[in-house]
Amino acid sequence: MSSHDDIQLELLDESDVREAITNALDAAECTWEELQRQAESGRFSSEVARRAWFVVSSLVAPTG
Amino acid sequence: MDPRNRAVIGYKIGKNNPLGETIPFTISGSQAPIHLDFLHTLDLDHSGEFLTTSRSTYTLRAEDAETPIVTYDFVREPPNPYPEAHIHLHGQSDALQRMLDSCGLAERKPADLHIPVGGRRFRPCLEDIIEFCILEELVTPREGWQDALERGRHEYHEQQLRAAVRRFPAQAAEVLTNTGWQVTRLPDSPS
Repeated sequence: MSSHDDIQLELLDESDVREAITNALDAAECTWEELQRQAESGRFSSEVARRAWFVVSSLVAPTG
Repeated sequence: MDPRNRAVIGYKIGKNNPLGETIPFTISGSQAPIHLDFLHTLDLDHSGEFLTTSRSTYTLRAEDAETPIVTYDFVREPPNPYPEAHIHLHGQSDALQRMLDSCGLAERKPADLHIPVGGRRFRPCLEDIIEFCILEELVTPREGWQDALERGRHEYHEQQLRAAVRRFPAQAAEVLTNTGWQVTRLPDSPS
């Protein structure tokens, strides 16, 4: 019924991660600092900004 | 997936499209009445041994694939006081807006509210969102959808239960002992 054949895995190096972050921030039309402030308030300026925060915060935050 | 074993999962997501795209909920190729977009981010847990969800967000959108209807977010250790697992209801609600206005929060919208849902361990999963769309007759499912959803949901519940037992081993041992199991803690087991 379903298969995993259509799942694609993209491995990113540190440079790729930085590029992904830049692309996400560009889409949100926000800086990382602006997104952080919006997240702290629990309210984002747009839907795109909210989604961008999910991605960027996951890639820039320290692990553990 | 990045060099620090972190991963972002989404539909048609990638370095050049880091926010992914929206999935039309249709099996016939016709105009989908509802769309789903989701992002799921994974990280290693504190032990460095288990992959765990650090964030997830699911949004059901209208037929235009843009207008949000409901958003279900999970944010592990959020940067604000709101619950880790919560729902945002989009759109206008006169009653909710009056409530916000009367609380001196006229600048806020109903969608700004973080409605708690289940907490970290007992929050709904993606299968629950899909099932909601099917049971409410918003989408037409394929034959055998129940089994497919139940398999995924069962796996999710088992993972959550294992995590809960790791978090509360004494309580787990107590329940097992009360139901006839013999549980012995090894001297060098982690607390």
